Amino acid sequence: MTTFIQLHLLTAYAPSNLNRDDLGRPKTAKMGNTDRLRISSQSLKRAWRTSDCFYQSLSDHIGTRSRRFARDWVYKPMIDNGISEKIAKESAIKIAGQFGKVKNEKSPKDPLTNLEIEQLVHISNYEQQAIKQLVDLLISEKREPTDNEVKLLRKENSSIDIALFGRMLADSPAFNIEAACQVSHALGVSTVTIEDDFFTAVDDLNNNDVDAGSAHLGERGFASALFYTYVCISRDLLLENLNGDEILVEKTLKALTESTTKVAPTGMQNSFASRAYTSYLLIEKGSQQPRSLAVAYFNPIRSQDLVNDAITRLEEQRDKFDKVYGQCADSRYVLNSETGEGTLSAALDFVAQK
Amino acid sequence: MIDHLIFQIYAPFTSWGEPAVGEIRHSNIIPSRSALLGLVSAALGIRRDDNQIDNFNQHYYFAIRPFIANNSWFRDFHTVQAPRANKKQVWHTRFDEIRQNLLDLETLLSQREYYNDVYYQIVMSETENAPYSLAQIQQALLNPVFPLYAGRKNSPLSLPLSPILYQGTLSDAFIFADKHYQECHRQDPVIDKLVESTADEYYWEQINQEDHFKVIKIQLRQDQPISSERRQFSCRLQFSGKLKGSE
Repeated sequence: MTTFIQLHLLTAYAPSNLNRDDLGRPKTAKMGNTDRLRISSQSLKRAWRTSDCFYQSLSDHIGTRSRRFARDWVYKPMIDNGISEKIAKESAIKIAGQFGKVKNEKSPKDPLTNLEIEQLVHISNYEQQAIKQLVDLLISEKREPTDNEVKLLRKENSSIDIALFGRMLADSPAFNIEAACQVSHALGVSTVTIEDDFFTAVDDLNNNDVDAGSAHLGERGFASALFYTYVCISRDLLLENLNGDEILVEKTLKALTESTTKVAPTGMQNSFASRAYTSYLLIEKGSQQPRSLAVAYFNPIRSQDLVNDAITRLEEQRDKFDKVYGQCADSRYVLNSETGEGTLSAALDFVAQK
Repeated sequence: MIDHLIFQIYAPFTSWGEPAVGEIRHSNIIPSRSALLGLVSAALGIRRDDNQIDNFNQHYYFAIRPFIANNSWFRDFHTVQAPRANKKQVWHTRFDEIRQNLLDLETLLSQREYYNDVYYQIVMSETENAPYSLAQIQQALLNPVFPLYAGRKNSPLSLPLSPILYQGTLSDAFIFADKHYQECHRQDPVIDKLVESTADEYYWEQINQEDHFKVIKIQLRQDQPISSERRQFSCRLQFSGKLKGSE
């Protein structure tokens, strides 16, 4: 029997334009014959898997952001231990290349600059340890790393990314991985009307002598909503995709859950700064057929107390389903920031437990 | 007496793929035969690359009753960013691919169609030598092996399938199904609205149903999977019409 982990989230976003259509307006859809604001599942997944939060929580929150790590962690210890300049340099470049594009300046002021990478990159605690182990081995054997050895440095991160969200290669279907995680489009729980922001930009050097007009006119759509998001993970498929590594499964589940509660899509953040944390999270586990609780909002909510009413409706829907169709989950955990029920760390422990 | 397995499908969005492949991915208003076979085989745990899938796909009949009062459809504008392919460069994660090389990113556009707010009642029956019994399938729908969805992975089911076995003619099965699910939804007036909406069109693929149904349309649909490996589909007949005595 498959164990399914279902996450139900309610997240409130202030006016924003998180996910746009081809005209640059916020995406919408209808439910219960009324317009709702929408964030596509693709947009949510992109935000989660490329967030620092996702990356960092894979390594228990301790990581290093660096461009020059190969210089400090590879080149320096090798030189200090009497390895030749050539081997130390080549090893550093090979290892740096796994994490980013290695600099290649023709006449750098400091010759070691070319052991750095172009962009800042986040290196997890696990990766730092793996690099250290590899460097120790290279020092004792006085050699450069092989291609396979440097690839292993990124194994954990790449396997987690692909195990959760899958991979489809039309050219070589043999390497396809079925995603263990299913994400719905996030839908607003109430009716939405997209508003238009008309804006102008003035020319600072125009002193109005000849022309008092603005230098630029623009328009952008925006809207605000409380979103219901639903995520369903097959724990068994995740374990299989991660080659039976139970510890990695637990880490992955925690990383995903934390990202879903804290990470917002990055669309137009500079204009709206609409980052938001989840107000309510319900986690369900069991082997019963998973079902989203979107019907709770089939009738749009019209109220002055949107968040609390949405939570009430969600819990009522969960209970109604249990009553009509039989128990829909074996165990549950609730995180409710309105009432102060539950904590994120307890939720992460619950989600990771077998 | 014919055995039937009845279940319901509802998701806020459904996207039942049409043969077209390209920039715009169209959706039909009712699930294709391949979609329903896929849903059932996912519940049973038959994998996409399993040898038995081609045999499985040759069995079972599906009949569909869509409830479509206030339905609408929309097109989701979809972009995918990726750097230009470079055989020398290996990307380990999506994070690396799009955050390390912002300036090299190129965008691919596509559009997907979805229908909103359509509720379905499905009646399934066995064919000769079917590999799984309807009772086994009922159990699988209650405790599926893989997560189920309405055409696309991002359209999770929003109602339990609530599968139930029934013996009788196809038309009686539909009448029974309606009564059964009305009863379920009486306790949840929200869904009641969906169930009470217009639903006088029935779709089926078994021949010789003229005693019970008035045939209005016969269509050829290219949704009978023949080879999963080569992704080939052949044509089949789809009958649609009204239930006799219900006009």
